[in-house]
Amino acid sequence: MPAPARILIVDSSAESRDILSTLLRRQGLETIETTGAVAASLVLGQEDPDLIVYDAESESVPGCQGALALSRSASRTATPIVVLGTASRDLSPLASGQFVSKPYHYRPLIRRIESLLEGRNKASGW
Amino acid sequence: MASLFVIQGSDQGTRFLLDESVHSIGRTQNNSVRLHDTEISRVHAELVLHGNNYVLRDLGSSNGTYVNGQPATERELVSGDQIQLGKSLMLYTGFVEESHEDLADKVDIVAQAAQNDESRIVAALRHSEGSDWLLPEASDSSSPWIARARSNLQIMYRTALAVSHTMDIDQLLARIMEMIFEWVEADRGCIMLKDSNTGSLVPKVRRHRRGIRSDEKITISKTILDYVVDHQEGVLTSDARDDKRWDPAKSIVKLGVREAICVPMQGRYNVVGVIYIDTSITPQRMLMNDGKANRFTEEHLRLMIAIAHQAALAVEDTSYYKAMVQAERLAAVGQTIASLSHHIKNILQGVRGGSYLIELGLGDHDGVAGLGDHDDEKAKKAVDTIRKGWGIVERNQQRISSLVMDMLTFSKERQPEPKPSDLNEVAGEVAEIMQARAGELGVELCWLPAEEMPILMFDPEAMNSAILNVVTNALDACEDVESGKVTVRAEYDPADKVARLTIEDNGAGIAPGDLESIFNVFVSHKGGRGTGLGLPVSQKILEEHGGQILVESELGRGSRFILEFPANPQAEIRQEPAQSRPTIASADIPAGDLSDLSSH
Repeated sequence: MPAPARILIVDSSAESRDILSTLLRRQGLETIETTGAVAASLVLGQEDPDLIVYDAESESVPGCQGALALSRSASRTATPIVVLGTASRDLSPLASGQFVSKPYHYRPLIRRIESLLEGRNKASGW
Repeated sequence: MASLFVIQGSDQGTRFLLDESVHSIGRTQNNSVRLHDTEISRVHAELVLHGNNYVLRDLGSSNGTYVNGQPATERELVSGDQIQLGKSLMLYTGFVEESHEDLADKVDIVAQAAQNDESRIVAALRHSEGSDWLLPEASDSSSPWIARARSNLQIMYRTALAVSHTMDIDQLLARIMEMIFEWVEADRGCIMLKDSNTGSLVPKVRRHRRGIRSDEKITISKTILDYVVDHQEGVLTSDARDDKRWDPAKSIVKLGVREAICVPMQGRYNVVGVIYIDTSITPQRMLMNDGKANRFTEEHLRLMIAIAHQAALAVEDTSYYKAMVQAERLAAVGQTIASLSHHIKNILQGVRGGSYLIELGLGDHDGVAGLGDHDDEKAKKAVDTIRKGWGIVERNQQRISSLVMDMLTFSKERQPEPKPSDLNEVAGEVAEIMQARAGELGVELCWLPAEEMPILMFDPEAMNSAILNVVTNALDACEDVESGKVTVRAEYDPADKVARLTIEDNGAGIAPGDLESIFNVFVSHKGGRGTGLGLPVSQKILEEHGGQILVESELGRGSRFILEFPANPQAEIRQEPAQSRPTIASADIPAGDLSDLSSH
């Protein structure tokens, strides 16, 4: 049995992180939480998560360098990224980006994350 | 000196001074006006001095040369011309005429007249009296020409005054119509303005001379109106079939003759409407006047054109102003809606998350119950999930409620209702409510009530919101800080008679550049969490109490917010409101008895 997939949650709101983290853990996934894109870029190198969920609207400075750096590192490692909310245009050429506009429902969001993970698993030959 | 100023393109902001008789414009280095624009040819165009201006000549460029949006191969430039080459847009400024220079040096304003200057004020005239001399005097009746000229000048002057003094267009048009009627013997008149959307003429003002049936419709020939608008010319019309050789015996005489003047309201840019007046001449009058029945003359027409021009300028200005105000208002409304919907969206997201957790928890719980076996651990887990979801829903419910309260306070729906209150009690309540939030964030919240706090006149509910907003911010600022601490301290200064509440935190602090805008509506530095309403509302409340909010902050060290307002002890309040309210003696509520609530 493969190790559970790890999801990096990037959101400045503790409450949002908590909700998503609780829901993902219920599905048997592991989660790592960071408050912003800058911190996430650092974590990305060390932890090698299987997927990133990034809340683009929670950043206090929209479209900041951090978001760009995060999207670049994500595309370098070919890590799928799910962007919540309206992101600036800089983020649009994301490698395997998925945009989910707010307000979203959690059930489809979780399903979407799971299907992205499945796709990645197949691609990597699992 | 003439110059070219790049207002758009990669060289934006560059000014090229034109000091030679020939300048070449292009992409390569050997041009005196070199533009870094790939859509410009190597040597694109040239400027040749011709008299007092430059002539712009296209040198067979591949993408062409445009002046004020029109393609140009050769064109003499005048100041203000916009030249487009490739992606670059430049503004041409011609030579400044000598007479415009150094005007400041040629006019001196001195406090006292120089000694040899014998000038003194011999007569002074109020602005409003300026037109009095234009009034025809009785003695001038000997010279009807002068009397008429004066009367004409008078109406022009009054039109100008009306235009400069009236902001409301309908009022202005009515005033102008009234003046026209005082000046010329017209029976009926109307002013029509062009509808900006449909382009059709819409009557705005309608007037009749006294004694004329006012319910009578004014019929205006469309041919005349179209002529006036299309040709931008005023017309004087008469419905006499042939105005020179009409026969008194014919029917026209029985009906009389209708004469009309219709002039365009020609503004700076467009015809904005028309002014129409007419008069009918009865057969009796025609006979009396021995055929010379014309009441309207070309002089009337000329003057009407001038009046209409003045009115048109005013109409244009007003509609421009209105459009600007409207645009600003729309922009503000848009910003408000965007900001509110963003915040509400976040709250909704929280509610959805919370209720989804509850739903899942309930499902788990049912599953446990359905199995029949009493797996306590599973049941407990299910309840934990429900409880977590419930907490989130509750918190977001609280957010909606404070958002609505802030909106009401800000929109002036809620008037402050001062009543005898205890600041220790009000601030203590806030501290108590916020304890839970502080616990969640791992921040220590310290409440230090004032030892002595008289009962003061203020609006306790409003003050509660004002304090709550500042304390919420202080806690949020400490979120990511280790051993964060927020201190709320109440004080009463009997010497200055000021009640003061100091909220201090060791949190993130505010960047110096952000300090200025923290009280601006819908400016939030808290990312998705802030409504941008909190501090403006707090400030408004303090200001309503004659007080203020003082801020000191250092990035990375924390902030100190001081809410202070003049103490209005209950004993000293104005008689009026005190009579209508139940009075509570200060002794009834001992000051500082709420220190038990403090939670440090």
